[in-house]
Amino acid sequence: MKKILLPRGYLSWSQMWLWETNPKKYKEKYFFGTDQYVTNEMRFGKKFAEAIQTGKSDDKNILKVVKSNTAYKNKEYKIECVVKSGKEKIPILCFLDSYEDGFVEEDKTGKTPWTQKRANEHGQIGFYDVALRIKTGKAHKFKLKWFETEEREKGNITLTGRVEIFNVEKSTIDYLKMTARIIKVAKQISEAYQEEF
Amino acid sequence: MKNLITQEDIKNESEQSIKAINDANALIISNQDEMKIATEMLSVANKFGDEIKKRKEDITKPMNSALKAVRALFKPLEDNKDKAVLIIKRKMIDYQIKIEEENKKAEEKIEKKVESGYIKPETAIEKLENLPETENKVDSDAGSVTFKTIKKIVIEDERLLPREYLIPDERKIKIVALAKEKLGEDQIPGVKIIEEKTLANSR
Repeated sequence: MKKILLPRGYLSWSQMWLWETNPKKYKEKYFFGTDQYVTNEMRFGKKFAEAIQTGKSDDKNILKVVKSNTAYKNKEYKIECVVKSGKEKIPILCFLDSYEDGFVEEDKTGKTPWTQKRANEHGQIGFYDVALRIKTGKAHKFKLKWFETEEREKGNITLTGRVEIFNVEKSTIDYLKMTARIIKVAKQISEAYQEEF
Repeated sequence: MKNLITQEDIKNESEQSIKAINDANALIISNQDEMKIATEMLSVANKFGDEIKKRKEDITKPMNSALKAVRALFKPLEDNKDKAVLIIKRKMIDYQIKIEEENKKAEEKIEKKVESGYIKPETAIEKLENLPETENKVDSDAGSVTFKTIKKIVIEDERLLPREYLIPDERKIKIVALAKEKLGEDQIPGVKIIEEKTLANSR
């Protein structure tokens, strides 16, 4: 088997998600560096995440929500670890929205409502669970916080003030399944990457 | 062609039809003589309508017959294609479901083996990694297929449905209500029979 080779040298959740949902777009972005189309929702999500991280924003509405939001101590908490597959090593990189001793919060903005089922099945949390178990050796408690948005005028996205919290815990089998998924995706990307170049 | 209709004909008849609306708007019925005039006007308007309908059908009937003949010609081919597509789709979905169920069972077995310490987590990951895949998108030279999970509703118990989701069966209600009235029986609750004037024009 060929050595695992990833375009960025590591695998992140956004990479894994893009590969699984649209390998063509993944190749465009990570193999060839083509800029991807950024939606208004994505732009707003980034602005919101920055406000959570820094506590600053030029959007009064965001600032109000951010100030009343109780996130964990460490914002944009970086985790680097390695998933092993036989002799192969797959570097993993995560940035947790906020983290504090065994607790993780992931913030989501958007119009589509989050449900407990959707939160339980959300791959990003499973991905972070794998990274945290490898890094710390223990399971963590996850909190997915949904901040509802609406589009009042064309392209003008704003928070409605509705916030819902979903608590998620991952089992050992969830961890094992996600690890297998990570390895599978890493191998697929690596194969496609080496075929291309 | 014998019944050829020109743009000029349509224009003239269009003017005639607008005049009929204006005459109808100007009509006042205040006595029996004016009622007679109204009957005359109604008959003329309906005769005009009959003529228009006939001329329209002189054109549309052969077209509809041709359309029917063409549809009949292709129907067996389309039916067979539909059947083939249905069989292939069913088999593809059945396979997908079979693999998913087998994977679920295999995952449960692996989970038990890990919990009991029979196998190491690394072995479990390897086994999970090697389970057959159910690709949501399958590409071929001729085209591709994307599997989707859609949501459907199943009405488990109609009696539990709130009133706002129920639509009255007006056809059935009419038959039963008129029969009840004829027999002098108590009417369906919430229903009453009313009488409304209408007329028939013979010409």
